[in-house]
Amino acid sequence: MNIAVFVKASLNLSMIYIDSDEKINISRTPIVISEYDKNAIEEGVRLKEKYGGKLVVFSALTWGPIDKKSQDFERMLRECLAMGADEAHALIDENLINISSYESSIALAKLVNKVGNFNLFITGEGSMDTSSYQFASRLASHLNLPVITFVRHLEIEEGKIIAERDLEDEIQVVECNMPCIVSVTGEINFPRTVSVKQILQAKSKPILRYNIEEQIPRIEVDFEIKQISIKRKNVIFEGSIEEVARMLVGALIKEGILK
Amino acid sequence: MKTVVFSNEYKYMKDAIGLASSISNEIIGISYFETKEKPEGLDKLYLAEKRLNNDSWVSIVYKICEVEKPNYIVTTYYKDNADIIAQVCGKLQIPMFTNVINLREDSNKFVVTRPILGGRALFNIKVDKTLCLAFAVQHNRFNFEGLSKVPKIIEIKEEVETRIQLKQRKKKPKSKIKIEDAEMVVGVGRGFKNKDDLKLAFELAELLNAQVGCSRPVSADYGWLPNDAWLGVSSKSIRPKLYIAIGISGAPQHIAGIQESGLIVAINKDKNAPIFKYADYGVVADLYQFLPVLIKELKNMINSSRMYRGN
Ligand SMILES: Cc1cc2nc3c(=O)[nH]c(=O)nc-3n(C[C@H](O)[C@H](O)[C@H](O)COP(=O)(O)OP(=O)(O)OC[C@H]3O[C@@H](n4cnc5c(N)ncnc54)[C@H](O)[C@@H]3O)c2cc1C
Repeated sequence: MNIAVFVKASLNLSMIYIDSDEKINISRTPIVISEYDKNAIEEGVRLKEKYGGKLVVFSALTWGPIDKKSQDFERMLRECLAMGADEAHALIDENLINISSYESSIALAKLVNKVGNFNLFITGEGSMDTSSYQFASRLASHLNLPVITFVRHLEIEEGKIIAERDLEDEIQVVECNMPCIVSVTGEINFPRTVSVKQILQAKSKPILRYNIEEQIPRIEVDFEIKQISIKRKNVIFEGSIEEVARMLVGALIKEGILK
Repeated sequence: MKTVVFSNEYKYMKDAIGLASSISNEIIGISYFETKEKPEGLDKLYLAEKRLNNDSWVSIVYKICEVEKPNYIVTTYYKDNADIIAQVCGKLQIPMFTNVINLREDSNKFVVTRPILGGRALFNIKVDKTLCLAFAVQHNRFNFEGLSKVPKIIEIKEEVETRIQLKQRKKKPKSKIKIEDAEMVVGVGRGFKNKDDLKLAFELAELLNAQVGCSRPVSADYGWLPNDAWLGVSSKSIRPKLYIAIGISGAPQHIAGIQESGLIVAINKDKNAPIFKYADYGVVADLYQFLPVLIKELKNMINSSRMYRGN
């Protein structure tokens, strides 16, 4: 069984660089694998261990400038290989910087078709930076395959995927023939952590880099990312527990919350 | 301008109609409802006869869009709605903006605002409004004034084949009151050692007339509270008058769901917990020692005000 996993190099949420005007400085913010895409890789590795076959990672670098991001990007791909993927195929192209899943799904669908045939396509439910929650669905349209989103448990029986979808109000159990696409939630598994040594050992596994060959449609947008900051009083009450409790109740009365 | 609004269940359609009515004069709905709801605010409604799965909806919505040729497509941001419309947008090769909280016009552009980076930042995107665009709007952001238009109903009768079979649906347990509507919310986190201890939080909530919400692990990992109590970027966003975070560290993904609260109180035993940066009032204490004292203090206050009022 051949499995393709899609991972995004997301802005690192714990290292966001903020300029003095509250704007996020993308150029100075490092990138890492997006949280739920780790679950996607982990699920792929588990299925590969059970059913054999090849596990291939796909990614497109979408944050720039390329020279400042390529080292982190490379490291992310190595991490995926160290977790158990066999090879990585990556799009690195000036034309893909600052794109959304509208464009990346088209570019990656084209790349997948070039690389080979897969029985299953896995990705995270959404990326942790731009969280547009559409990549899997769009990919399904471009590859003309069925998609099962928000999967928190997955089984394979006789060439069929049986998946539990985690929705707002209900859990659904659905069934679908392969090939198909699934997006997984953070609850599906615990991604293994890899050591620096394992990452180095994965050096022998291939990473193939591509430019885009033909232009993909691209939507022109201007954008700005600004930190949300709401001023808070930041008062810490000091004293014995009883005193502090009284101060808190007093403050709530003064604020008009308690009457 | 013509907009197609979609929701796989009619009860979630209002928010989408809210945005659509501000950017277009003709609104075509596509939905399904079980009960005798009275659709309004639409010129035309394509209505499914039965519940459909996402795969079938995609073919139907796509076909209707080919006939109607809308300028815009709007849906309300729920997992299934976003999945269906994203697939339709893939086929139509148009962009979709997810989780939109604001949209304004600026000459020939739309300025679309949506939270990103785990809710820490706002993404303001300027895009040519003459393009065909799709929006998935956040619940409770776009007001819907009871427009009196009564739509012409067109039943969706055709059978569409589906590649995905629905085998089972299990309803998730639900809290009685929607946490988004609560004026006071007590939030519980991993600082609580076990489910039974949550009774401290419930007792406090009762005194304050508050609802109890929680961080992701308390619901998703431990299952101590239903999913609809889970606050944060991957679940509910709330804007109550008062939010009290107890034993919650203040991860950005949690803050995203509560940062618009009127007043924020944090109770945490670690004085360096990030939650204090987002709080108006902070108490550095072990919740197991502090909550019983706070509860007693509140009871005293309530009793004395009763005495004062002569009840
Ligand atoms: C993509 C993504 C999406 C996410 N979405 C969400 C989301 O929507 N909502 C969400 O909440 N999280 C979300 N998370 C998880 C988030 O990152 C945190 O892991 C989570 O919020 C932590 O929950 P917590 O504060 O309850 O637990 P912890 O971080 O473990 O904090 C527990 C706190 O309790 C304090 N404490 C311990 N014992 C006591 C005591 N006896 N008395 C007082 N204080 C005590 C500790 O000092 C600590 O600060 C998401 C994560 C990712 C990666």
